[in-house]
Formats: sequence, C-alpha cells, structure tokens
Amino acid sequence: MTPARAALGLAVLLGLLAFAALKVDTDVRGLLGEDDQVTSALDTPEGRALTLAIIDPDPDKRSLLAAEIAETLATRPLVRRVTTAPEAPTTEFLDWIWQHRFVLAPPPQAAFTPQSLVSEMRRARAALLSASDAALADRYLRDPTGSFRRAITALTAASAKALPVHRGIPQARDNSAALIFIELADEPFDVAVEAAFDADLISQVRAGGADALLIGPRAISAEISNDIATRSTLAAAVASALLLLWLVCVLRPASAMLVCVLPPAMGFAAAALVVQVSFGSVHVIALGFGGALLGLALDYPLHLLAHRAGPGQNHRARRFVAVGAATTAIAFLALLGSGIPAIGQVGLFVASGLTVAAACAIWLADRGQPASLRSFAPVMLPFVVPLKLPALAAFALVCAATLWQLPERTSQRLVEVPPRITDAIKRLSTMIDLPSGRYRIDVTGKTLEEVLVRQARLAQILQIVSSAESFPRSEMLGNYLPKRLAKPKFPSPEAFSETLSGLLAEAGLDPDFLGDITASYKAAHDIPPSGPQALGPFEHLAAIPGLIRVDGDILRAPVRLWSVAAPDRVAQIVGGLRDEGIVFVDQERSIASGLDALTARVSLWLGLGVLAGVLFLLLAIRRPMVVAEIALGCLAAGLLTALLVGIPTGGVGVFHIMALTLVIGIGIDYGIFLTLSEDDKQYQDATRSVLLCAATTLIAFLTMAFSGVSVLEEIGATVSIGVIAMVVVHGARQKITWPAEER
Amino acid sequence: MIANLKIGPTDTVDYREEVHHAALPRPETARGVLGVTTGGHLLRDQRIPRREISEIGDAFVSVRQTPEGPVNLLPIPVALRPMLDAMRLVMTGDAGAIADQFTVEPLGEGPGWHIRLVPKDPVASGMQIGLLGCGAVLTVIEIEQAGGVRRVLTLERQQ
Repeated sequence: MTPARAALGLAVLLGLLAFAALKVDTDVRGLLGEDDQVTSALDTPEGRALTLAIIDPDPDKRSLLAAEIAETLATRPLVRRVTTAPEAPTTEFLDWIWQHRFVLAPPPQAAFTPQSLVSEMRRARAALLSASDAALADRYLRDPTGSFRRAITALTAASAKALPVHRGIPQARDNSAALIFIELADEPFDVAVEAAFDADLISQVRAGGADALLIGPRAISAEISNDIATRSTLAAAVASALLLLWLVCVLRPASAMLVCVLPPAMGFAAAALVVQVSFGSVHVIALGFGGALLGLALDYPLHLLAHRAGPGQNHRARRFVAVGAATTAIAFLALLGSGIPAIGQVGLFVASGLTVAAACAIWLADRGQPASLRSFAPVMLPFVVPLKLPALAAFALVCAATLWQLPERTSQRLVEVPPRITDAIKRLSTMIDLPSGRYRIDVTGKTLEEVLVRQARLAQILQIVSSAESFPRSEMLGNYLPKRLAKPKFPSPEAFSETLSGLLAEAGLDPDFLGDITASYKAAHDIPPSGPQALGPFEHLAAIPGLIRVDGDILRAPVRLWSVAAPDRVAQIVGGLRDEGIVFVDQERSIASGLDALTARVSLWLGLGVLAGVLFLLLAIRRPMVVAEIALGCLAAGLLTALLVGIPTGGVGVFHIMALTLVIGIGIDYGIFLTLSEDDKQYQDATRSVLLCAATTLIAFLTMAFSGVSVLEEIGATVSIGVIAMVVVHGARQKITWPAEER
Repeated sequence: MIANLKIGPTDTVDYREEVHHAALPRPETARGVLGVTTGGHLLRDQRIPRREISEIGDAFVSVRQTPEGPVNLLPIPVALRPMLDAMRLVMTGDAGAIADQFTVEPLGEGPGWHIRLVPKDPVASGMQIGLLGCGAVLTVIEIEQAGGVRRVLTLERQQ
C-alpha cells in the first residue's frame, strides 16, 4: 500500500468516525451568551408570530379564501393559534379581569363617594337590559366602585381600534388584503420545517388565485438562513472547482493532488473528533469557521513540494512547516481561555486540525511519489528595505492609531436582511401600521401592578414631552386600561360596607344585596400581588398581543414606538426617569454591543495567543531579529488589512477579527519561509511556494468575497487583502544574510 | 313546530322583557320591537326605558343608541351566546340549528305548549331556555342565566 493510499484510508476512517460521532450545535447562545433579548427572540410568542396577508382587490374573494385557509391552519400541529376575527372574551378571561379588577383599574377616590356609588349601581341596573352588557350586568351590580366596568370599557375600546373587518376577517388598513394572524406552536425553531410550512402556506394562497405576503421573525430567519445556505453552497462549489482546476494546472503530475488535499481533509476530520470528544458537541461556528481556517493546511504540501530540490531544502521545509503550524496552533489554543464556548471550540478545532494536517503533509512528503510544481513563478531576488524593522514598527503604529480613531460600529449585524424582506416588511407596515422593529421601551416588574404603575409614570412623561416637541407615537398595555393613580387608596371592606349600607335602596337595589357586594369587594381588595404565575389568560388577550409577557420570574411589558427619528432623545427621556424597570432598547445596538464585547474578548485572547506563538517561534528559531521581522511584518500587514476593511464598513467587526486570525496564521508561514531563506535558491523556492499558496488562498477567498453573503464577504475580503499584504511585507527583507558570491 | 314560529322578513313583534336578579326588589322592565333582517339576524329595537337598537348575528352583536348613531360591533361573549342564539334561531325558524345546539325537551300538556331548550355547549351549563306558546304562536321566551339572572320575554302580537 502506498503512503498516499494509507493516508487516504486513514482520512476516510477518521471522516466516518467524525460523521458518526458528530453532534452539531447551532445554539446562538454558544456565541453570544445568555442575552435573552438577542438569543431567545424566536422563542417568545412574538417570535413565533406570523402574519399572512392574502392580497386581492376583491374583499369577498380574499376574505373567503382567508377563512378557508384559517380553518385548515387550525388543524395543523405546528400552529398553536389562528386569529381571524376579533375574539369575544372567554369566560376564563372575564373571570380573571373580575378577580384582578383593582389591579387593572383601581377606583379613584371619587368612586367611593355616595353619589358615585349610587350612580354606578343605577348604571348596573340599566346594563341588565342592554344587549351589549347583559352578560356582564351581574358583575356590574356586585361592583359599585365601577372598577370592573371601566376595565371592560377600556378593553372594548381597544378592540374597536383594531383593524377593519370584512366577513369576519380582519382587513389591511389600505383595503388591499385579508389578514390572518398565526401563533406557531411552542417548538424549537427549525429552518427546514419553517421553510416548508411557509412555502405550503404561500402555495395555498396562490392556488386560490391571490397573492401572499408572509412575515414573521421565524419566517424571516428561515428565509435568510436558506438564502445564506444557497449562496454559501454556490460559493463553496465555485471555489472548490476553481481550486481543483488551479491545482491540476500547477501540480505535476496531476495525481499529486491527493497529496495536497489529504492533509487538510485529515486535519478537518481529526479536529471535529477532538472537539466532539472535548465538548460533547461541535458548534456550527467551529465547524464552519474552523473548517475555513483549516484551508491554511493546503499550503503545507505546496510549501513542501516547492522545496523538494535537495535533501537539505527538504529538511528545512519540513521544519518550517512544523514550526509554522505549531506557532499558529499555539496562538489559536489561547482562544480556549475566552470563555465563549463556540470561540473556544474554534481555537481547539484549528489547533488540533493544523497539527494533524502538518504531520500528515510532512509524512506524505517523506514517502510520497516524486511530484513537483510547474515553474511559473518568476525568479526573484529579495527586495531589500534597509530600515524594514523601524519602518514596519512606525507603519504599524500609524495603522493602529488610525484604527483607534474609527467610529464605533453601531450597525454591526450577524446577518444582512435581504432587500426582498425589507420591502415585504414595508408593505406589511402600510397594511397594519407596524411599530419600529428596532426601538422599544421595556417596562419590567415583579407584579402586574408594578408594571402598570411604571407604565403610568412613563406615559405621563411621554405625554408632556409630546406636547412640547415632535416625539414618536407609542403604544403600551396601560393605554388599553383606565388611567390610574400611582398609589390608589382603598377603604377597608368594613368602611366600604358602612358607606354603602344606606345607598342601595336609593339606587333601586334590594338592601339585602349588601352582603354580596361587600364579599365581592373584600375578595378583590385582598387579592395577592399578581406575579408571573397569576398573569394567565391576560397574556393572551387578542386585543393586546405582545404588550405583556412572562419572562422567567418577572413580567415584561414592551412599549411599542413608531417613527423614532431621534433615538438619543428618547433614551435621554427614559433615562431621566431613573427607574431600572424602564429601559430604552435599541435592538440593533444591543446586538452590536454583544458583538463588540465578543470582538474585544476574542481580540484579547487572540493577542495573548499570538504572543505565546511568537515566544514559541523565538524558542524554535533562536534568532531574535528574524522573529522580530516576522512578528512585526505580521502585525503591520494585519493592522493594514484591518484598516482597509474597517474604513468602508465603518469599523472592524467580529468576522473581520476572525478572518484576521487566518491572515496571521498565513503570514507566519510566509514569514518563516521568506525571512529564513539563506541563499538565492532558497529565496527563489520560498517565493515560488508563497506565491503559489497565496494564489490558492486568493482563489478560495475572492470567491467568498463575491458570494453575496455579508459575513462571507467580510471574511473573504479580509483574507484576500491580508494575504496580499503578507506577501508584500514578508517579500521585502531587512538585509540579505547570505554571502555576496551566493547571489 | 319551531320552524313555524318564525317572524317573516317584513313582520315585527312588540315585546316586553322582565329581568329578575337577586339585587333587585322588583324586576327591570323593557319594551320594544323584534324583527328579523334579510341576512337572518335578529333585530331588537328597545324603546323603553331607553333606546337601544341591536342586531344579533351568529358571532357579533352590533349596538347603537339611535338609528343614525355610531355602531358598536361586539363579539358575542361565549357565556351569552346560547341565549342570543336561542332567541335568534327561534325567531328565524332555524329548527335544524336549534336541534344541533340544544337538547329540546317538550314539557306540559293542555291548550298551550312548553318546550325547554338546554344548551349542549358545556360553557353554558346552568342556562335553561323555556319557550311557551299556543298553537303556532310563541308567546314567551324565558331564560335562566348563570348568576341568578332570569329573563322573561313576552311577545305581544297584534290581534
């Protein structure tokens, strides 16, 4: 068995093992931590909400189609609830309102005056004869404070403000579509399941002869994920085809390609196994980004092939590959200290993968069949820059200072929303007047009362500000309830009973009914604080979906905002309340802050790793000036790359930093081969292998840079620019160390 | 027989409604006119003690204070639905729907007749609806709601 076949067999075995054992983890918390605002967005009722607009100019046709689709939707297991017509309050909901009426609509002091009590009892008597109030009149009679009636009236008014209805189906405000509101079942988000569900729904609408618009966080996420997957697959296929073509062109014989492909393949399989065994699963970031970084391993066999001219050369090349791989592996291992599971896995993945790949490449180079590279590279002599070290140091300083001056990257996103989705959201916004998806004010509290008191305080401030200046329109739970006092005062049940005792006859009621009224008053008066467990049916009231929800052991009641032109002003107003339960949220900035923190942490640990790598290089090479030249070269080229990619995008993001790690790894290899050349022949071979490796890397990463996926574009552009910068920086020499006659 | 109790599309019937409740020393009384719309909705035009025009459909009730006044469209609460359904279905003569939604129990003997409707929906347990009449004429609808409210709707047909 030839060594290549043995290595191939081993790679296949490792691959099969990895395939069998691998458990891929896609949880974003592995990258962004436990920030509920960012990572659980798809698991809240709002995250599981879908709006289906059935677009057709004929209101009858679209409404009938909507009713038909809603009926079939209600039977599907993926659907928790379908809302078409405004819903009548359930008995359970009315019972809840009755029990919590003093929390929702605490009666003002004036409600306890004899006149008010008599007036309320007369009103309750009249309600017995009203078609709209008949079901509630019994409770009106038992609550002469009017609290229950005011709560019901306010909530009914909220329903009246809802969308217009035709044939029992809500209609778009611009009369263009019938609307169905869907809440998906509380199941984990699965891209394939969601995409299939969405496609089926849209095809049902189209089969009915109408056009469909389907918007919701999960639908958008599924579409973006599929879009990224399609574009990434296409980019990977194009890059692989171009790489294969390139290797066929430069390798002699072409069958030597196996020698080039086996090390990274074996490194990938081994790395996946090591991470799986160490962490119990492999995060998709480690698999994807670690896999891309392992592309660096393709350079090893190319370097070794380029230096096969003589036995001495061969030995040097093997040593350089081993030193380069070990230096990069040490630098990446430091990422384990970052404390971010996905990033730590990337570190271990790259370190173990590069080590195995380098060992495989060296083993194959010693035992492989003769192979060589086509002599395409021009013979070059080193370009000497006498003051290279101080020049590099000064250049690095200038780059670092300029980078420091770049503005904070506030619009950093994990993914870019395609224009089609942005347009669809705008269109839906004209149909149902969508609030801002970016800005909101979060009001939290341990009890419903605490939340409502905070909202009342906020509403008061917003009203004052709105009357004085142009301020965003807002909507909150408190808007749908009667205006409340900050600290309502209730008389004791005994005092209440005493006040009421002489008034029943005056109101036309039987004085014997006093006991029933007093018992109802006492029950509402003594109700325990309404915490998350007590929220129950109120959370799902159709008229105010999403305006309050249970979040662990607190209640969260978001205040929706429209047309936020000056977010800083809103933040200032909210901050002025000095209440930790009222917070202005810029969703985009929250994500950007999370990514900034991630970037800072990754940069810190990677910096420490690079220092450890440089220390290792110093120990391995034992020539401080050469190590300084390599390290400074990598630093200057890395900073220049960061500057060039950071200026057009408004700052350096986490994906730039991750790509820069690959650039540094590549730079160390280039630096070792070019800077340690000791004669013209060695320099010529080093130039040839470096240019060949650079061309190979550029083929893969330039394809990525034009993939149309923002993350891949950032990585592709960074690596492409970085590789060119590394070639230029390491190609120039501080001085030529070999004797003149050698030249 | 129920199918014959309906009001024609152009007919109207005067009514008197008495509402009994534990809180009241004597029942509250209302008077008005009942009719049926071409769409099969029950039209209830209450004149005394105050005007209220309501149109009762199968899922919504629209209420306005005057014929020209603003309409308040309300979904019918689940607990009230059997009562309003019974009134609407009897007046429109929809015997099939009544058989679907209620258990029909004939009661009493003699010149008049008495039918009891018990809602099949468990949400309305405790509610009972009595229909009293003579020959092909319905004279009284009696409804006992949960919470001790009792309604007696007497139809006062022109002789």
